[in-house]
Amino acid sequence: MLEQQIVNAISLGSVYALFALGFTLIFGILGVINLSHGGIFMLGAYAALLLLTRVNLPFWAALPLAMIGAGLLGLAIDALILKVLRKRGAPHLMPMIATIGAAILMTSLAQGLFGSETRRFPIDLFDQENLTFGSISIPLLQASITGLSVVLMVLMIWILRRTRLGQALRAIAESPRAAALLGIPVERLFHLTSFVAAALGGAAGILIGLSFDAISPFMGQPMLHKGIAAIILGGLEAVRAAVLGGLFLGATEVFAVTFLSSEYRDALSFGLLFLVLLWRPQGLFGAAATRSA
Amino acid sequence: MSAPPPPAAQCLLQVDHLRVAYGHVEAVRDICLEVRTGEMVALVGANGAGKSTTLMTLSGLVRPRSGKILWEGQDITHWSPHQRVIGGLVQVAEGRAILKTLTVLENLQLGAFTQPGTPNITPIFERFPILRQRAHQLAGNLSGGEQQMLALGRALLSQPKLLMLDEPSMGLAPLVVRDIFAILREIHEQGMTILLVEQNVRQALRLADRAYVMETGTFSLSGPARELVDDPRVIAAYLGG
Ligand SMILES: Nc1ncnc2c1ncn2[C@@H]1O[C@H](COP(=O)(O)OP(=O)(O)OP(=O)(O)O)[C@@H](O)[C@H]1O
Ligand SMILES: [Mg+2]
Repeated sequence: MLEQQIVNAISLGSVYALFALGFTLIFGILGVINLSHGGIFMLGAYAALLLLTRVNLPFWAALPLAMIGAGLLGLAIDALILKVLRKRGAPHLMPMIATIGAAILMTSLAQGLFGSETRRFPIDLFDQENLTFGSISIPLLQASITGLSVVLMVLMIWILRRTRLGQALRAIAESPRAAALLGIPVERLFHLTSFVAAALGGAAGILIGLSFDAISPFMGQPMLHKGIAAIILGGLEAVRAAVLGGLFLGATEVFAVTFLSSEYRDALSFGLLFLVLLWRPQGLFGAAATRSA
Repeated sequence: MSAPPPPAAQCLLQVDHLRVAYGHVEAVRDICLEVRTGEMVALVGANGAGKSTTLMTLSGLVRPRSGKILWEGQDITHWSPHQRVIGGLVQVAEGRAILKTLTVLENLQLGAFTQPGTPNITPIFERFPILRQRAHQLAGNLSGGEQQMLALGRALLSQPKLLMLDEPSMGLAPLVVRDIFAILREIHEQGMTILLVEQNVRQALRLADRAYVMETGTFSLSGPARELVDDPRVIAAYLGG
């Protein structure tokens, strides 16, 4: 029973972390709070749904294609909204407001195109069998969700920590100006980051859609709040910390449902967020980070 | 204005009637400047004269209002910053723009970002042994002088044809400043073309071949550095008479 809850916590937490990772990439590298990330998350889930049900693609093909679709959407938001604001040297509030607008647009669009009712992925997507490890047995679906999130996160962290591209991205995160003076194509990497972050957001949407067996035009907003909470819990900007924040949030929710009741789930996790902010403004796992122009 | 402008062919960098403004503030007003291959040119002037703005415009981080920048005879006014670095126009920005959250080694590796293949950092470690000792520390933990050496070593790894330095002596102790200037002299003697921005006018003029004196966005004087050191106007304004 407890083992099962731990498995649930890790599974949910790893998807939160995946969502938060995309969000924190944009924040760390572009220096922008992108409030359309929840919208991209939601449309990613719908894209996969269409590819699975209308085009009849297998899951392993629908997932990357839907991620690319979500990525292109993120790229469009960067090229059409964020880039314009960057060029103008607009203050921080402007991209926040502009991306709220984009999120509202995406929600309405989804309502118009797909209707407001909750949709589901086909039930036969994953076998009903369980993977058993000693005394613990994990449903294949949950194992796949966790596995995919972890693979994507580890890949991102590896790129950021160990590759030349990652070095360049970390340079931009500290100072776009200094990075440009080193010959790093900053604008191009802003586009790339927007694409990758959105693709991760889309993947999270698909996995949450599978996990809760529900897709709706309104699934983005609560997820956005959770993503922000995860990042604050984990410590802003540091990718690893955002991952820990996501896992922590997932665990809090699962155990809130288990030991209290599902009504208190969000109250507990966001209540905890308040306490963390009072006690450790830099987050549970974070060191205070700064960014210069 | 003394020295006649050199013919364009010899010029590595030629700046033609450049004007730069921040909103309504004109920071650079109609300047013309040349740097020839192998020269060390100093650009001196008081706070707010427009020196950094000039370098930032040359690096492509600030867009000029009007005027042209010619690089090896080619108009690069609309090139992006990274294209200019690839072309060999490299700047060490004011306040040692090192990346404090990256290690010393990572900073150096990024200096070679525009270069193909694995960078060879050994020559930089030989020139600045302290950087080898600190290779795996965060660059933010270096002292001011060490940071300036890191910035310099990193810039050299981009294989510059013209190295632009914005106040490399800023905030450093006199002994360290002497070291930095000695290194600049050495790099220059080995053939590097340098555009040096300095408020440390005396030392800059002693080091450079030619100099421009900048006042509120324009060049008030220019000519061979040796002559400017003795110019009564320079002495009165910058060398404490
Ligand atoms: N980003 C900016 N926005 C608005 N005005 C600016 C900006 N940067 C510089 N200025 C103004 O432009 C003028 C020239 O500044 P600049 O930094 O180029 O001078 P400087 O010669 O490098 O001075 P210092 O020796 O103090 O570094 C100043 O009046 C300055 O206030
Ligand atoms: Mg300056």
